[in-house]
Amino acid sequence: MRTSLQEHRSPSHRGPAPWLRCLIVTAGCLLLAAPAAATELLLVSDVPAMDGKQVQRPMWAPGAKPRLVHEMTDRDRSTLLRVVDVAGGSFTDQIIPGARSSRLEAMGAGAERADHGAAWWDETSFFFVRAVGGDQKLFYFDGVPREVPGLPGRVVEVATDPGRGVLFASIEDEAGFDLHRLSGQGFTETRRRLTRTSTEVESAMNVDAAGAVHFVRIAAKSTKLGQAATDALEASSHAANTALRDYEILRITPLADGTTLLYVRAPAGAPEADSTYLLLEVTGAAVKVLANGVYLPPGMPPAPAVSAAGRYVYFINNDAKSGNPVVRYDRTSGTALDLKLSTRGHQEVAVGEYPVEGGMQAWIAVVSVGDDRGQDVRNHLYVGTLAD
Amino acid sequence: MRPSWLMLLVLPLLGCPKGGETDTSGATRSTCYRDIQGDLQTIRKRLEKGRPVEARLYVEGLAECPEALGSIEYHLLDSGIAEELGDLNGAWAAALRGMLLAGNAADAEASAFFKAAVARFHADYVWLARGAGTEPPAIRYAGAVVDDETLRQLEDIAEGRSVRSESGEAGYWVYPGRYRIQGVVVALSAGQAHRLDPPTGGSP
Repeated sequence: MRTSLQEHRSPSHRGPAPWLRCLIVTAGCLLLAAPAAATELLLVSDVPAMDGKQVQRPMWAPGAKPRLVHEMTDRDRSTLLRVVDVAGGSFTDQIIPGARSSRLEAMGAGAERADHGAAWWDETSFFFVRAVGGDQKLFYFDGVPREVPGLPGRVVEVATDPGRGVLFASIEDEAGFDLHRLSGQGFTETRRRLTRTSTEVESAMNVDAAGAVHFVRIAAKSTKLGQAATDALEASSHAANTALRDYEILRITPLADGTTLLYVRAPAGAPEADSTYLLLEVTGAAVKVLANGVYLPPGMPPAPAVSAAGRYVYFINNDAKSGNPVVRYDRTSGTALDLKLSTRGHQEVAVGEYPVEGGMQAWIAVVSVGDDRGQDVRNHLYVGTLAD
Repeated sequence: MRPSWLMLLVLPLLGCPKGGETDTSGATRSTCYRDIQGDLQTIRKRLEKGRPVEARLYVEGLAECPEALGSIEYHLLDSGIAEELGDLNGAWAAALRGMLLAGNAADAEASAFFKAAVARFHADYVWLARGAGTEPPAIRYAGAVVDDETLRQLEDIAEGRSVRSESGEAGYWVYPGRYRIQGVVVALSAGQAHRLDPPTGGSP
């Protein structure tokens, strides 16, 4: 693993980021803490309903009890959502039905659907996108799937700001892919189109603690960071950080302290291009490489996983020989720790925190290749608690 | 207008349900003039094509025909359509009527079907027992996205249109979700039962 704590201020040149080359060469401050004993995790995807299906995109819920939702995809690419509740050493689960009518569900309604892009609203409910045929609609699940009516096109992605009663949705209509803010009764009262970009796509949304939505604006040959404050009439994208302009920005996690964590792809031909994916910390014009050689799964990667207070960042080191270890980076001390999980072949990592007596307990979920008996090579889901 | 155009306008109307025509001159003899088997087939086809709203018109038309009410298939279709339209209490009542008929007719296949439907209700929806209160309980939806079906279910409760469980308990079926009941928000999950007792005192 290659990790650097050095900062780089916005360079005045344009090119394949030689600043990053310096960072890698002078990565003398890399600290990798001594590995602890292997952390045992609970396999929660070895159930009959998941036969032949792969796990992806686990996302922990807010609230008091460990709960997550994840996607499960079969070879026909139909995708279902499954909620898992963990208590003690066991778990319960529920697959989000294709219809509200149990009669229709029993008849196999919506079997060809692709439910994806879940975004938690509160501890028991979330929004998600349901694709059937060529259509994509926004749904809310609080026990039954309820469609959010009257949206003006194909919903591509959704992000939530439950504290303010706001949804952000990336919607494709005749004017292109644009970002919309939805609020009010049933999310039909107030709708605002925040972008009007016919040749660009707004994607990878994430909402910060102040209610601003952050996103990636994707053009044919570039990506930019975009942002809209909670009451903004329109979104802005900023290319002020020239250190980022050569990189393909993939996903964003905005932190409460104003810092943004990014997964980016190194450009072809750059010295670091062999490591492909990097984890960056951006504060204003300052860019710090937290890690390069990060593993990201195919398709839309998850946003960087971070603890609630923003101190710890979790990522997967792209090192197949070591089983793609999961690493926890401490932003306070600048140290990185291999979590030494009992699983191998990690594909995705998600973290959540739940109250216990005297504080909060960190929970981890990893998508990992294979079950715990070595009987198959599907992507399985494991969960467990993390020691401090 | 040429006659052919007139025919085009009139013919579809002839196929629409128009309600049972009952001759009230005879107390015991049914004079429902509907083609019950034909209507049942129409209902079945509408349902198969995912058009329950249209299918329900025919169900309502047949509801005035005693012969239809004695048909197991009628209750089977009535229950399925009502459930699809979110009228859970109507669907439940129809399923119980169908189960009774199937039992009386010793129709094992139909009995098994209705038993499975009843079991699905218990597994997939929420049973709100009416409890000891005489007044309708204060209940409203507290989730983020409400729909017409949920509002109709809550209207049933507000107006006291309860149904009986297999054990004879009065209550209501609603979708799982977040509800504000007597001032308290509760998340009711599939398969759960909740008793709508009046508040025990104090302000909600």
